Amino acid sequence: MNSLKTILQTLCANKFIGGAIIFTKEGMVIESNFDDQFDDEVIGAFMSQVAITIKNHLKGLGFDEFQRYILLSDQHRIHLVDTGRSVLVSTSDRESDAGEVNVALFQAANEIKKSERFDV
Amino acid sequence: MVTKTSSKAVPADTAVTYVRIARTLRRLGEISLALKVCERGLKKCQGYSNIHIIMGQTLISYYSKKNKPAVLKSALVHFEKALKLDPQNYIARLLASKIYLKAGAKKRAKAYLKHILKITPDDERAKALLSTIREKEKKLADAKEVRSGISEDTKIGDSLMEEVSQAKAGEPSKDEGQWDLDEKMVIGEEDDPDDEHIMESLSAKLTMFSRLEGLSAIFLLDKNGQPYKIINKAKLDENIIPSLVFNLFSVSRNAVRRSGFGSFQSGILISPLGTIIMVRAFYATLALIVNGDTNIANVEKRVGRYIEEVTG
Repeated sequence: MNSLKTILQTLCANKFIGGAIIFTKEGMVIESNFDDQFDDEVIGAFMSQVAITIKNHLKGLGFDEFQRYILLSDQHRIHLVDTGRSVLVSTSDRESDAGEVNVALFQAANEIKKSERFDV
Repeated sequence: MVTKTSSKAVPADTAVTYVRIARTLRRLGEISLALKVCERGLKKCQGYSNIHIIMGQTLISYYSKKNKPAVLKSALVHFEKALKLDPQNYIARLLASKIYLKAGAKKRAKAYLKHILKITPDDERAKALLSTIREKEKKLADAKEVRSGISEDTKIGDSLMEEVSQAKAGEPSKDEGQWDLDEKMVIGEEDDPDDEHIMESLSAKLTMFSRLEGLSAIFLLDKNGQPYKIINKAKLDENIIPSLVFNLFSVSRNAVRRSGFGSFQSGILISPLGTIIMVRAFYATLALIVNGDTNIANVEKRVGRYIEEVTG
């Protein structure tokens, strides 16, 4: 079982992934692999709001979780993945290979979910 | 024209149609007629939050003409009903908070505004109203009437909630004189006459999606998140999904900007409902819901062409 740090390093080793962060549903940063131009705490705080908004509405429709939310900006694709007790956010270029990015994110998300099972 | 799955008029289309007619009549100043349309719509489509919202908005317009506090109370009943059907509805919560504020129930108004700002921290209307409340509270504190003001406010808020839960829709209550309304507080119109023209154009171009493979539903929302056009092949929920789309778009825009990721343009949510693709055109929000196994790249291309067509 990999540590969360290793999981993010593996994910970010993918040429299409710019950076990645894992935070709790409350927005507390657990691990981050973004460079210094981004503020991890700010990303955790605001992206957790996005996850909460999705979950609150889906709850009203009888669903517990979502798979993924992709935000497209003028500069990036931002991938928000529900990993159970935490949220994984990563960025990729707008023109990156979606298939390869999806595979990398899928693998990372699975590893994160596995590691959460062993949490005390 | 996008075809429906059934030749019978389904309730969702009916509700949206009543809302549009009532809105047009309201703009023309035909408030009594608009109220009649709303009442008819409510008889047929009680389970739709947008009908309650347009009823509330029309009652506010009626109040502006007649100045009867009971009319505002009725409006509030409808906004609360809309919130029961759709707890995250933005415009119902905003307008309800304005009425509470006008009636002096600052605590209740504040709670509603804070709820809005939790989802969209940069919402200008909610921030402005909260700022108004804080100014009033400061004035009260400065005048050394805090203790009596707050306890009075709580009593007003609690009694107001009791009246709202007991009042029946459309029936003025007998105690008209008991609301001490702040006459300086204006509950203004939330519609822009130019919006109708833009919404019509956006709606007309939806035929571009008529043959889209895997299409479950289309929601075209106005600037307040209210459905202007719904095409619902898969019979999805029509109260919560518009709010999900509208609120998610707002919170995404804020999150992307504040995180330093640029300027938010569109979102793709992969959920048990299906895949929801949302994009903004002018002040409207368009959401397409497709089956989970649909080729998203094709859908994105089609949406891109739609945006090019409507924005010229």
